[in-house]
Amino acid sequence: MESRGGRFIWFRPSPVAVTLLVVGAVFAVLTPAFLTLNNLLNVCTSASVVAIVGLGMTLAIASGNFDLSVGSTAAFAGCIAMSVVPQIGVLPAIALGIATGALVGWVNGLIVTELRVPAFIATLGMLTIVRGAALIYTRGRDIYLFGKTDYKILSSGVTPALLALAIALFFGFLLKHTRFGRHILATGSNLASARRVGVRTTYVLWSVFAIVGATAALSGLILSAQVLTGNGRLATGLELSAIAVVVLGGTPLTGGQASIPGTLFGSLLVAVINNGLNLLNVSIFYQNVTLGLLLLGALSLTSGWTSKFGRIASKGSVADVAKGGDGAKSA
Amino acid sequence: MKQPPKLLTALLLICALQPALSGHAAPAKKKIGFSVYDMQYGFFQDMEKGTKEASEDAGYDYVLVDQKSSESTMVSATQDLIDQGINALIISPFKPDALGPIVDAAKAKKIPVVVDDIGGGGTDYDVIVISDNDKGGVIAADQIAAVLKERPSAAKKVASISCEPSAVYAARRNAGFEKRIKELGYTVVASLSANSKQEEGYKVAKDILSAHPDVAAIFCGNDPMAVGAAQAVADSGKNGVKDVYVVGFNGDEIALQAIKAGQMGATIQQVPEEMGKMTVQLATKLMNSEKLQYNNAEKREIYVPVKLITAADLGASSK
Amino acid sequence: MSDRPQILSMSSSQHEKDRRRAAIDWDLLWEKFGIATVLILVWIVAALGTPRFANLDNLSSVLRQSAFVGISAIGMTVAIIAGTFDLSVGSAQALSAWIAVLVAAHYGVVPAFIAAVLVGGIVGLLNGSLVVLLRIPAFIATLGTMFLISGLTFIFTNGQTARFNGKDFVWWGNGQLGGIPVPFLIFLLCALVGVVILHRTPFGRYVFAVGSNIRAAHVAGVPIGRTVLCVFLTVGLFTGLGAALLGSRLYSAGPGLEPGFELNVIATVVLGGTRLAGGRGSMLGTIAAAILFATLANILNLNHVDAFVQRVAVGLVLLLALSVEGIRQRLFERWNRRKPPTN
Repeated sequence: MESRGGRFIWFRPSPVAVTLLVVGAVFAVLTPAFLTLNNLLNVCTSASVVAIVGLGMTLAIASGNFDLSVGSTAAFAGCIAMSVVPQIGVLPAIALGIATGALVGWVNGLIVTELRVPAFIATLGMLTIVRGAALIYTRGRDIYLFGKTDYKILSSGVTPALLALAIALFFGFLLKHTRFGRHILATGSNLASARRVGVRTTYVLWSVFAIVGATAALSGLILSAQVLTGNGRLATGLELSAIAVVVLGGTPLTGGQASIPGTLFGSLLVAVINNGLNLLNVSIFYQNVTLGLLLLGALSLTSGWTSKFGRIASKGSVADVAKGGDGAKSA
Repeated sequence: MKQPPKLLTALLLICALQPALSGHAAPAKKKIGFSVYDMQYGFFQDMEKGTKEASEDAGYDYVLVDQKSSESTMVSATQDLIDQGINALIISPFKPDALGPIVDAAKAKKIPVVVDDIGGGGTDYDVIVISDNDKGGVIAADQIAAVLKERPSAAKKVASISCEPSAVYAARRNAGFEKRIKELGYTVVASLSANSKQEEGYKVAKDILSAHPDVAAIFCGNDPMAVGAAQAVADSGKNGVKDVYVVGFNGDEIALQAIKAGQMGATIQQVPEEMGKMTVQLATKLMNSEKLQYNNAEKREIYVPVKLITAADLGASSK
Repeated sequence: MSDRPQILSMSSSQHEKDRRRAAIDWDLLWEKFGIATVLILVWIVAALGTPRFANLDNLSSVLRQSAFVGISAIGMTVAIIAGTFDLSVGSAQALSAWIAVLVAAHYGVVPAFIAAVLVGGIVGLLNGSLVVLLRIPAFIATLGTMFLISGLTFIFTNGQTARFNGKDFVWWGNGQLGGIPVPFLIFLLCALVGVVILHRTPFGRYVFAVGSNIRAAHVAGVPIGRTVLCVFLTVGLFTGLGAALLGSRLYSAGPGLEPGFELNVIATVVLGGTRLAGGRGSMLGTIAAAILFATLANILNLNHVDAFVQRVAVGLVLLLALSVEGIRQRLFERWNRRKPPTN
């Protein structure tokens, strides 16, 4: 089962896909509004926003890291892009926003590799720094572009969904068929071993973090395009949603594996639940409870699954303890 | 040799954070401390502007702390204010229920407490300047009813989007709205929270429109959510004035722009800058031990009326 | 040595290499005393530079404020040493604090504290069971319970905050004994308990064992499942206690109390020198880090630093403090011109 670096899970019978179908069916029965074309499109759009940053997060987690700063990066990129649209036009503004996100991501990577700060803390620190930067940049005010409807190309119709799919396909291809992708998985699987066989882990990590930042920026741009506003408060909490959908999708937190379709299904699942409960006019309190139960339920299923199919050697004690302390039984 | 760089780093950092402060003792100049809910919101930025300008005009020293939407920070940051030797405290509390320790601490130092909006938490403040949130919701309901009356083909369905669940005082806006609109014969088909966030207002509104395509109006507990909802209406191919009448609350710049642009129907305007000025005047009176005139003497409340703002009002006035 | 499974953190193996070559183990020193040293320096500089910092009211306020994150951080230190962590402490705190206020209003102070600690413990046991029995990774398990408990708290409370200002109750969060704030005294007591647990009990030894090399621990007969369960229970108990104090301090508590609390607690523990990889840690560091964060917030306020800039400053301090070890290592390497470590 153990391959030379890591494993790309193309498709495994995943609990999340099954859950998605079941939940979707339940909502379809409970309310006729669910299965309308318009509504399904909405669901896809809101799923795409989380999916895009979730896909970036998948790469980060596969490489053995986290990025808790994606929400702040999304806001910062959104603010930068919105503020220059009048001057340089929509497409260049979008490019600038994404570049900003990549830059922030690269800084995260630097802190992790050069200053040797664990990714959890590094990105936690950047979370507040970048959020503060966004607020300072906008002076706390909103940047609005009413009437600039051409900026909306990012968020209208099927664009977000197409973007998410394109990124998913690209990342899938990257992970499965390119050396860079294999290097990512190897780095996440066992950093020391990867270095020993010649993987330039530093550059790999820089690239991964830059990619995460870029996807976060894209999600932020889509969000700000939806409301045609940029401000420093955008996307608070996006990081937890992103991590949740990656985890729901079956990508293990220990690194070395990635499930791209899983992340997509995870995003859809969360979006469907949100949407369904809104359609049914259910209080937001229950949405949190449902999400919590889902995470726990899906993961207890997945853990059972994993022990059936065997485990990849895990990276460190956290993973072992996290998996229930059966260090001796793993691999 | 190896004086560990860690000490140097720490020192440098602290020095970088410290502006050169001389330890001068300011003579009799009075000091006003303002503790604000969260400077991330335009509403509070306006309030702070009014408070600061009035303080400086009156010749006071002015100190600001930001509660950053956290009750724990509210208490600790305001405590920092109180410890700085202020002569009067103005506070716009994130969690009025947690005002207890602050008011007690201020009273112990004989510092008068002026509460600016949100709520008083049942504590012993000296005076509270408050917008009538409930009344605001009622005004919104009346406006929506008036507009929809002109549209006989419109369904008698409305939706209500509220702020984050822990903002219980803002919740009065939606409560007042829902009660009144039901009295006027409409059905509230959806009552959901969008966590005070603009992008969630967008998402929730989209879902509402999916579930109830014939909803005729949406009332939102604050302007960011309303602007988000208006965008959702626009993205559904409808108009936020003519098809689905969207009403917000606050009077933020962004909403006024949206109303002027014909994207949103109306907002309930509070006057945070005015309120800020008012609180400084009240603080002055309290520092001079003058008696205050209340609207509600028992609760020591002074009301600030909220105003309905529609496109007509904006066409006439300049903002 | 190089073929040993990559269980230990990079800094641990680096630490061993250093140990063999350097006379003074800077890493160990920094880990144990670094933050405490920084704290003392910061206090000195602040006292000299900020006129109102050194007055007793202010210092008392800083110490008081440090206790609320600090008490929970004590439990979290144990968890992180054991190689795991708990993301649900924020929502557990909200629930426990609310219960504390409610019980205090109807039944008195002692029942309130007991109730809060119990609630915290139950949440801890829930987390522990999920991790040990259902084999859910700690990150997910505690993330899931975070959402779950947060939602449940909103449902139980219907979104309303509970309030109570009985003098006996609020004294605990607001009063002082001999000039020292009561919550801080309790914090110190908890830290003492924490140290005793870690260094004087079998459980403590198991915690270190599980955190540093879980396979070896298993082979050596350490009851892993029970240990991990108790670790989460510990986190929950301390969080419950801190929550009761917070409710007392605020005269109130309700759902949505302090979002982001869990990240603050984890940051405090890590800032204090306990590494996320597990196996080693410093309770003294946790105390110092908690006080340092409170001091930082206080200094920023006293110097009238703009709120947006404050966010940047706090993040920078966290990053700087944590990169010290990395910077020192790199300087050391360059100095000795040896191969970069297998990181």
